[in-house]
Amino acid sequence: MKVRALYQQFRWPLQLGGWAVLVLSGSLVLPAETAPPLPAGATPRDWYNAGTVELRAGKLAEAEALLQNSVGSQVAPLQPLALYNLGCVRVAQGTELLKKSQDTTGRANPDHGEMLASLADDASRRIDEAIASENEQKMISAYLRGGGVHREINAATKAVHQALESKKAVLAKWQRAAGDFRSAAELHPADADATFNAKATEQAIAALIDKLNQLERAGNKMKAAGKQLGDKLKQLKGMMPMPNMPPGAPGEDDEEDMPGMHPGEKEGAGKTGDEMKISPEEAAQLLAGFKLSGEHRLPLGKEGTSKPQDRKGKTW
Amino acid sequence: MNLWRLTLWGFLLMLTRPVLADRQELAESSFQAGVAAYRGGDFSAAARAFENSAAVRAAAGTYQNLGNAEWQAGRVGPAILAWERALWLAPATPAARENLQLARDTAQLAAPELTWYEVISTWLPSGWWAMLTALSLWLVADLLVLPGIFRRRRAGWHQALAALGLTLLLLTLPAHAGWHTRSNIGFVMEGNLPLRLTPTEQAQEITRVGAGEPGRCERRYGNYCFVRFRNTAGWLTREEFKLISGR
Repeated sequence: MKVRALYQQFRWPLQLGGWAVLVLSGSLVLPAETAPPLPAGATPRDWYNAGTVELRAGKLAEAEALLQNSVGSQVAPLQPLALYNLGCVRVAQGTELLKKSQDTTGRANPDHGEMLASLADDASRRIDEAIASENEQKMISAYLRGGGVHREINAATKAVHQALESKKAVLAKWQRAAGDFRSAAELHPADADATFNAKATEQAIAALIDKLNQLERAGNKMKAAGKQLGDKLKQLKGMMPMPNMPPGAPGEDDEEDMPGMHPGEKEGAGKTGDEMKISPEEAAQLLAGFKLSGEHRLPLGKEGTSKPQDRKGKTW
Repeated sequence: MNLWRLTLWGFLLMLTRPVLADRQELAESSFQAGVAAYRGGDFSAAARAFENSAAVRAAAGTYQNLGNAEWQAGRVGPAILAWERALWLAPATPAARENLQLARDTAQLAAPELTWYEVISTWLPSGWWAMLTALSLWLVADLLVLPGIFRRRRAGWHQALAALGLTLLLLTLPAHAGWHTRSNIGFVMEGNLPLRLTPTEQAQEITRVGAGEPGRCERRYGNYCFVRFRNTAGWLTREEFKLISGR
């Protein structure tokens, strides 16, 4: 009875507290807004201004979506401005991707690939010699050496493949950015900044394509050398007496089948080599003169109107 | 003075007559070349010849044949455009209508969606509507003004005819509006064309559109048209998207 009386007395505070707990827990579960919501009747100018604010804040995905909406609204005077900023966003996105795709192992490198290919040729030659000599010790030594090279080639091929994929994503972003700058310049021919940025981006793209081609060639060379070495290793394996067989057998693709290292044995190839040449720093150098932070982003301010972030004021 | 004017007009007629005759001859010879090429199985050459003939003298029959040649050559977009142009010039061309239906069924394409006043405009050739408007306007004006000028009493049939003329005049107005809006309808010429986000050469691609798809040109910018399709909209060049009216 006492409990009931107490509940009756504090019914309202208790119910309010319950509701507060529910609302709070709901807000914890619901995802937070990533971009400031625009009002329902937002104009293309609002999209542009909001996109510019996001670009300044470094929120590239949000900026891209907002500026894309602004361009897609087909407001002619706004399109070149939005396209210019969209180009800036996409260049920055590409550069970020390039930073993320850095190869820390040093394997995704054309020079490293060349070195591994020559090591594979050398290992293949040693296997041929060992087979010709029919010397068991020589065979084991050649098998282990070849296995080491083969394993390293497999790892490097994977690294090259990953590097190619990520750099292709960068290339796509930069190509779209160059198209945006070119479009901005085409719609507003007096915009020298857009032409300048288009040329700078195209130079960076050309350099990236060169590196991609080099990497692709090195990858193909490595793959061919690795396949040849794998075949030789299989041939050698069939000729070696079972008791002296090293554990595992080198497969064509699987690293797990590589022979284990014996004490005193040296692995065929080291993990030396330079970093991928088209590094973020190099990309930054190529885009050194890139006019990302000029007045161009906010040309509306020049016209005596309010700044883009002040969306309460008149902006158009 | 009058004699002098008559002489001048006669002289001008004499000057322009050979030019007109030459053009007629060119249109006719191109048409015949097209027919010969079509019968010989060279559909691309036939299409070129019919196109030349239509450029000199636009005729429903020439467009009908052009459509057939383009279809036989495997070009769906130009074929549909040619048949639509044949219907634009002469709505009572059953062969073009049947071919269009067949082509759209085969290529799984939709016909342009028309408003009620656009449907009315398809009942007669465009020139006929203009003629009908002019005739009904003059009829109404004459029946209202002339009895007064000739000092005759307006009879009942005068007023009945004037009312009929006025009704006819009013009925032709939506047809004119339909004719005007329908002139912005066009068709995609080639398959798998990129629809641009902006009217620029290196524009971002929104989506791809297929040959023969109908759309409406809403705006122009240089050599580009902003085309609205059933589900999407974007920019295409005037070579990629041609209007039914040929403008």
